[in-house]
Amino acid sequence: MADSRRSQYESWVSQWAPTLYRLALRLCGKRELAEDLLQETFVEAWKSRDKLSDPAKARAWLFQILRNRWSHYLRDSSRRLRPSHDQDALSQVGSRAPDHSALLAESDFVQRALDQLEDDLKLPFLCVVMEGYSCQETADLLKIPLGTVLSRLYRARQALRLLLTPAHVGLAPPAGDSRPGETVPSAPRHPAASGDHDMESPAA
Amino acid sequence: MNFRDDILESISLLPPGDPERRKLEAELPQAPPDVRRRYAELVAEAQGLSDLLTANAAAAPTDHGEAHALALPESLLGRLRNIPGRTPVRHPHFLTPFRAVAAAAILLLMLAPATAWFFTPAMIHHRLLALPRDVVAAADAPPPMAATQPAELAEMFARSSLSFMPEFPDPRPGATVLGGGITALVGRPAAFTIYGLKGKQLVVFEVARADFPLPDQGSYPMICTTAGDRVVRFWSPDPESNMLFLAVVQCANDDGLENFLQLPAAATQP
Repeated sequence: MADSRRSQYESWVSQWAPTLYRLALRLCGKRELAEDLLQETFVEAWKSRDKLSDPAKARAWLFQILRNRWSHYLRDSSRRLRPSHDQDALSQVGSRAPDHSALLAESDFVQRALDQLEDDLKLPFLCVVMEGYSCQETADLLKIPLGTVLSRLYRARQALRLLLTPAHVGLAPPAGDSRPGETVPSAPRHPAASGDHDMESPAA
Repeated sequence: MNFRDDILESISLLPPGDPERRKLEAELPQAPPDVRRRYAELVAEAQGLSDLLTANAAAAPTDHGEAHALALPESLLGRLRNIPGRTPVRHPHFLTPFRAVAAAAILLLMLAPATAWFFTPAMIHHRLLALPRDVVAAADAPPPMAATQPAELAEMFARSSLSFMPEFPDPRPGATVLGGGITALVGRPAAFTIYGLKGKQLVVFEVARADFPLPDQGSYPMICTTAGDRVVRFWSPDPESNMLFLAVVQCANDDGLENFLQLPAAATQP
């Protein structure tokens, strides 16, 4: 029994940890934080593995845990995995050490653009475009209506279009929408998808 | 079918097999040519975005010359694999800490009237004062044995049940260690982070040559991580016991790997 649980856990790690790490990294834009989030996710998964009734839903379940950990991080000003550096070491980290997260952000224009997206837009966008979740899966994962997923995808795309140059995405954006490099404090609103109004399904 | 631009934009982001996308594409042949052309452009753009998200970070170099890979770091993978067996299982019906405290308080309240006659006020006073003193005494106890000299370390290695945490800021005896990894600190030749179940410690030390033989019999490599020309290996005499992690920092040179520092990195309790 214990062996089977352990092998099940091993399969989670080998199968889903790379995907979840990539998602965490894109979510927070900080390598070290992404590692902490993933460790917390798997510690939580191991502790409460009995709660997973359907092993086929392990991916969604792990995603939910990761999302919760990220929400907790955003909500709490203090990190759960707080490093207990001594002050000397801490000051060196701050002043002399290369900050991987900063490097990631500076060297990766996509990450810089993502960092300016609101979380509400970033999560569905990453789920669909990076991880290949279907619209319905994303709606289920994020517990939002399908129309809201579509609406947020649209708004995220509009925001990224302002932040990424046309050469980055290989296509000139529609006229009047493109101002490369412009800072976007929040996603631009479109009359058809303003706020969190649902967008109707194409079949409607 | 509604072919509004916002719908085309969001649907074209969906993966090809998505039912919503299939619905739209099934109707698309009946759409005007400009809509079909616009949708094709949006699909191409969406593919470009997807490629950027998954590929760009891997291609962007840092000032270390390392690739910003989105791949899972080996050291993290090791930590994740160490979680089973080092994490208490939360039984579904197990009392949460809050419930446990509440249950203890209720029990105490129930027993208090029955036992009050037994304790004199002086005894209660003594007990209340003694408890903090015990706690303070425990805190003032000598720290775990520290060893910095090679000979001293060698003697300790010869023994099987080592339990000490030298050179650690804010040592936390009893912490469960999951693993460790190199932490880049400019100007510091050796620094790494030990990751525990509920926290992590940055360990910074000056490299000092210590000519030890590597652990051999009874020692198993637990984690090996590299950063540039440095290699950090963690050993435990017994991988299942969590008794000791031994960090060895090695530096690659023309003759191979040279030991630069070898010291016990963390001692944990099972």
